[in-house]
Amino acid sequence: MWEVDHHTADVRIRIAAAALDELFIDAVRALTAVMHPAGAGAAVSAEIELDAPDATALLVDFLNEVLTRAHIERAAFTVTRFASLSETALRATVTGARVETFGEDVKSVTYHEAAVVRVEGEWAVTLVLDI
Amino acid sequence: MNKQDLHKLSDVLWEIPTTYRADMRVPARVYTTERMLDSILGDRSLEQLVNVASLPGLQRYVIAMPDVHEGYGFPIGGVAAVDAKTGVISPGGIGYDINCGVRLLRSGARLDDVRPLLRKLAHSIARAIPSGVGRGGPLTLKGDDFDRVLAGGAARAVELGYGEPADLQSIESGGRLDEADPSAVSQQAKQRGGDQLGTIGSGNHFVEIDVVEQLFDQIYGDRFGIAEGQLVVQIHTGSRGLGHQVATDFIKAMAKAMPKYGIELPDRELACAPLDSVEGRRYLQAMSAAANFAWANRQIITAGIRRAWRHELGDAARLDVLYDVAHNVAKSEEYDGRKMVVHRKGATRAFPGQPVLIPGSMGTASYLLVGGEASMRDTFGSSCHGAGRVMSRMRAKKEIDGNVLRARLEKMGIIAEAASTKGLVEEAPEAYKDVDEVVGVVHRAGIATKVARLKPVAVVKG
Repeated sequence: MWEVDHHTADVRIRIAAAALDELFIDAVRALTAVMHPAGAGAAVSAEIELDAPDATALLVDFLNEVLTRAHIERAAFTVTRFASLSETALRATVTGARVETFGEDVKSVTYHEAAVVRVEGEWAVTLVLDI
Repeated sequence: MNKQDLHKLSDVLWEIPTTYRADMRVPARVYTTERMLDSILGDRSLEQLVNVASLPGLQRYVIAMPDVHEGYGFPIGGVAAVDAKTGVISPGGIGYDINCGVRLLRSGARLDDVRPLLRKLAHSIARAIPSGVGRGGPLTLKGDDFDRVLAGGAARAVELGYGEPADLQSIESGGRLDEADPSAVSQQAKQRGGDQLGTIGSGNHFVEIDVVEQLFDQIYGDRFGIAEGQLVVQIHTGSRGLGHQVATDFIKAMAKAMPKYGIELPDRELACAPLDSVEGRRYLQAMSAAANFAWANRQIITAGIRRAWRHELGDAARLDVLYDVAHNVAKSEEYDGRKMVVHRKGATRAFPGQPVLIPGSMGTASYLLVGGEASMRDTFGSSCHGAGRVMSRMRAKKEIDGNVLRARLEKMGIIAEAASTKGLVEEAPEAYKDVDEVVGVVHRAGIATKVARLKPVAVVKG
């Protein structure tokens, strides 16, 4: 589950999920939604393997990798499957479709205000996207 | 933070002392009026400035310009100079859009003479310059050809037939940073930028036709070749996806590398590395390459605008480069007899006698200033860069009606060509600070003084 919120120059999204993998999956969907892809084309997928010092850095780096692939491939990624996921490493496949254009030029997913937290069993994060 | 935490040094200059927080290595200075300070304290920009003041190698103080607002790591509108040997370089101190900057072209045309053609001019420019997201430019390069642009900057664009060699004399650093090394730029960054040369992008990027509404300084007006009633053209854009990726790559790399250099910082977006380190040197090389890409980009866009201009006004119609400045960049310069690297994030170089270009919001005004002696003495040769946002894009989209805005602009005599109504609304005048007030501060401080006020007559937006 995610929602988009105000931020002076950019976009803030809040994501909450019952499990860590669901948090990452919803984060990819939220990022793609903010990009406002238009036009649907051939299916495309990308393999991503990363490690990071903690869950927050892992999520931000993962989303930036998805963003980079989206720009290079001109594709909207909506489905994420994990071969493995911990708080410091992941192997994933993201799948989506080529698009004609994006309605929003997301420059990067920033570390600004980012903190993956677990409160009463629920995982949550706030992310600020530079647009 | 509140006003009591700052010491007033003058009517336009305030200082946060190092006693404010234990990790501050130098004080933090803010150029602002008291009235604007109340607004600045409404976001976290000054706390971010205090965070910046904790970086190793800082010289004298860190600075916020009057257009300061909250950014990532560094606030936007920030300046920080470090010792070139012992200091660090922080990609957050330059920004994701490396060498986002402004170019001003002067024409031989007067508004009164071409008014009936303005709409056609704006339309021709909009057709000549791809804007918006995902639209490729006129030049797609790969491999060694692409690397030559990263190494050569605006000069390489001229070699490829875009513009004239004389243009280079009117660009900051001649449109090229020597430190550039294309091999420091990742393949992903090159792929992101591969088809983006000659494009302005979206967001607050634009091409704008302005009229010189008021000349404040006849001497510099003559020297810069401008007069009241004359048409000029502004280009505001940067390094597009290539620069964004370079910043992302190195923020990640430096965050990983910081522990081995014993650096701990209060904000991950401040990630940095010593200038005298592998990561620091590679970032400087990659940042310089991205800066060169941006200058080549503005050079190619200039060629497109010139074609459109001649198409509507005749082959003899000229557009000359008055100046081109970067407002997201790090430069190697010398102050206090010491070599330094100056981070300018949303800040413009303002050397004495140099044109300083300050775009306002669409529908208000922009300014041409000239760098003053006080900039070298007080602000590491730096000035503000624009008006600064006060309203989020989401709030602008909620509160401002696109059709009403277009009608308002038309009533003000401003023709708007926009790839999307959303893009127009997000850049509405009420989303920005008062540019007259922002420029007034740097003028009073002697950092850069007013030469001319420019009023928009046509805007082309992504």
